[in-house]
Amino acid sequence: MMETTTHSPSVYWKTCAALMALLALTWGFGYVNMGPFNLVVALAISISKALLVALFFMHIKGSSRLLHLAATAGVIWLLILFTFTLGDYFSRNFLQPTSNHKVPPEQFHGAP
Amino acid sequence: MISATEIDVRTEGQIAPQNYLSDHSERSWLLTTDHKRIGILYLCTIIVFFFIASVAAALMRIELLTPQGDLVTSETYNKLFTIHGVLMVWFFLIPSIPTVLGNFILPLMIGARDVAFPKLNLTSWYIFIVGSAVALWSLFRGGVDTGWTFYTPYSTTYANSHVISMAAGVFIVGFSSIITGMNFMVTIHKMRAPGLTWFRLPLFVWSLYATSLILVLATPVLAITLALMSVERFWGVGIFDPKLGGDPILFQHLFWFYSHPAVYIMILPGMGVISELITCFSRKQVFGYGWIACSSMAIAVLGFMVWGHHMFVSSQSIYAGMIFSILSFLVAVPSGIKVFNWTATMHKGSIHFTTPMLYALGFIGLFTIGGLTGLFLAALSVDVHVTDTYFVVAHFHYIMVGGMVTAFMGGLHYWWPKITGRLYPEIWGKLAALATFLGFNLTFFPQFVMGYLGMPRRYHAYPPEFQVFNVLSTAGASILGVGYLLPFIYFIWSIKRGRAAGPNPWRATGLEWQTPSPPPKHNFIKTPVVTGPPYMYSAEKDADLDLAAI
Amino acid sequence: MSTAATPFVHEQFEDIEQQRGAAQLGMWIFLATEVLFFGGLFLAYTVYRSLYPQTFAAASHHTEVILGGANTAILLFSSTLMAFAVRAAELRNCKQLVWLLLGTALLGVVFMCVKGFEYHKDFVEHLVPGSHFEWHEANRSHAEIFFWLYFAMTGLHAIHVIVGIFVLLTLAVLARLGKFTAGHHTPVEVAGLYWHFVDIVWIFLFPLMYLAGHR
Repeated sequence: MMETTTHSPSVYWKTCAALMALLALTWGFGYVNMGPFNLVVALAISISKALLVALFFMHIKGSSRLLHLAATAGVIWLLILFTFTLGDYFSRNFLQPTSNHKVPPEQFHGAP
Repeated sequence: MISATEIDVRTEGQIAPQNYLSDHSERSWLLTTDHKRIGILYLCTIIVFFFIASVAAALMRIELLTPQGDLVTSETYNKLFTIHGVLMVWFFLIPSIPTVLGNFILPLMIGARDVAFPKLNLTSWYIFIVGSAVALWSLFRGGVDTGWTFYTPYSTTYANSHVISMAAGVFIVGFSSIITGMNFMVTIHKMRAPGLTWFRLPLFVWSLYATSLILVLATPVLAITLALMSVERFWGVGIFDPKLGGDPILFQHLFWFYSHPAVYIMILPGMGVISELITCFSRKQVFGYGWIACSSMAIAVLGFMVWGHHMFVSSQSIYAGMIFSILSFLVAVPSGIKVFNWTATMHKGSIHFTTPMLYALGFIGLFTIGGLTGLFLAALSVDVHVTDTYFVVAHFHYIMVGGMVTAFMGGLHYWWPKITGRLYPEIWGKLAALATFLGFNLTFFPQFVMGYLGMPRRYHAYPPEFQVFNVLSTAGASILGVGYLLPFIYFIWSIKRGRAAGPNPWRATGLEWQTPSPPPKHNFIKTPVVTGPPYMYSAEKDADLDLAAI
Repeated sequence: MSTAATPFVHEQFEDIEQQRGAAQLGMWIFLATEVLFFGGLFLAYTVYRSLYPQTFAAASHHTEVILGGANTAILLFSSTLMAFAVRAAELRNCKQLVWLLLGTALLGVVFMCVKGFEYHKDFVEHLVPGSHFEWHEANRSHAEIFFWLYFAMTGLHAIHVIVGIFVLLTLAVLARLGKFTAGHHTPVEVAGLYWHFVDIVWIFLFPLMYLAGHR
């Protein structure tokens, strides 16, 4: 099956411009204190940049379903790795005995 | 029906004159890009490691004849079980069926001239050789004593053995695995013969695809994990170090994310071989083809979500443990489906007790025992008692030896006529199959019992009440050794002295049997066209056939 | 390799389309392996950042955000050039292809120079984990974990950039020799996929390493 051919130059230049704009956004938000949302916003912007590179520079847009699958498989498997491992870490202290002692935020030192 | 290609009828009952083995020069072997020769190169390489790892096992079993640690020191014993594990897992089992039988048979089975990337294929073998050399160098310098699992902080901080060099050897052969997996996936996607749709593929191809998926997605995580461990050991500081606030359990998560799917890398190709053998030697179309094909994929995917069952007694969260436990029960279902389907295939079939069929039948029994004991281990509460005992050792040997090695032997015997153009001596084949079955059970069944009674693994000395089981186990191991030695001898004998096989001694379906034995360099004179489903066997049609007598 | 008008088809393939499809699929599968290879490090980062958020934020302040940001822009622009290079190869524009490949490689070299400068600065400021690591704020050990991950992840990325530079230079030489004038541009396409992937990894590394704590 014939895979897609390359795009016109304007598509590439527009993608480049969008990427640079997103980079500026990343930078800008880095100087704003949004607490835990800093990470969410930063990742959202990074994912957008990655999608732009994948769709237009790597020609995923317009390519076969098989290549779409191959492109996403790594990410899906990474999510499996992340989900189960972080699930372990975040559920380790569910049954922490209640105490009056206020612990500082970084009280967990790896394996008990 | 699969339309026959132009087989030279003069080669019926003869060795095909001009075949892929015709050129005898070293150059033609060392610079080959022919998938068939590369399969043979891999076979020769992994046999060396099977032998070395068997010697380690033999020394362990001899030590364990007596309760005292009298043959070797505990440090040496640690090195023996480590080397046995490392070499058997990464240098024998993981490559075995994919790189030997997969490389040889896959392109033939799909009607292709070669794999998608033949030069990469040869490169993967050379990478394997380099990794092997590094591992052997580590061995000769004194080996490793961390166990094949390289757990931190022992491996990173306290071990006095050659951890980094052995890890480097494993790291390097990992790339060989990745390349092979990628090559197979692209080959299966892109190079099937006309008319060979996905659901007309032989089940061996499905199993190789599922295996390749795991090879490609899991091995990189092993690579980075070993690299992280090695860098931490070398640098003296790292992320698994509790003194820095690091978590050794993170190593275990990363390690088992690969190593559990790795056991499916080891068993899935074996299951694929068994599907081929059962259907051929029952002269009956396989029962539930679609279920078996999809179960291979299900095992590949689900197998990535159960790794925490190796960590039930680590400080992993109990909730994570519960999730991993449930998923571990779930992953047994597709395996169970396969066993039921193989059994149903044999039902009302015409069974031919050839050597490959003996191995296949042995596989079904032994894999079932291994698989069921896996369920014992998947239960959190039971695992707490039997983890790190010989119960676990017996479980995984039932799967890996009783299952995988048995399947490898079965496949090797089944396709030997295709690979060499010669028949092995059937009577010796049957004898060896029987010896391995008996020897295997005598070796490993007592280990279930003593493990359940509390004998720990990785100990070279033990309380006297376990001696009787250990003696039985060692006795079994010696019979098992004979069972593995016999084929080594008669296979080599058959290369020069075996009877000519002809293109299809087993009267099997499948494109690989539609070409001469040994096949010509480019496999098929004319690209075959497939017009129907696989395994169109008929027990009635073959009423006068007696395959076990050949 | 044939220099005739028709592209060269390797003997295991039926036609040029099958060959091209196989090469593309093969490279994407390889990239999936790379996602998981880097993924292990990203997992470690995620685990430790969730355990030690304040120290990671504080440690991140010691990275050179201007240099990191400049490097991100450099890589994004190099990806643009690479996309044009693939286009030039498909249009059989040999001269443009050579210049674009060289340009991409050059930007890769600039990236490495900036990185080298950054590493030197980190070394001088005693931020390299080990016996010379110095940290004058709270939780020294957690900061050491941050910097271990910083060097491991940017270091692994740098190795991939170096490999990419060599691949691009090799392709530039082959292009100069006219190897891609016959419509056989798959190697350029496939190298482009690799280079874009290296860019994507950095797209994630930049905010995680340099902007872990707001400035």
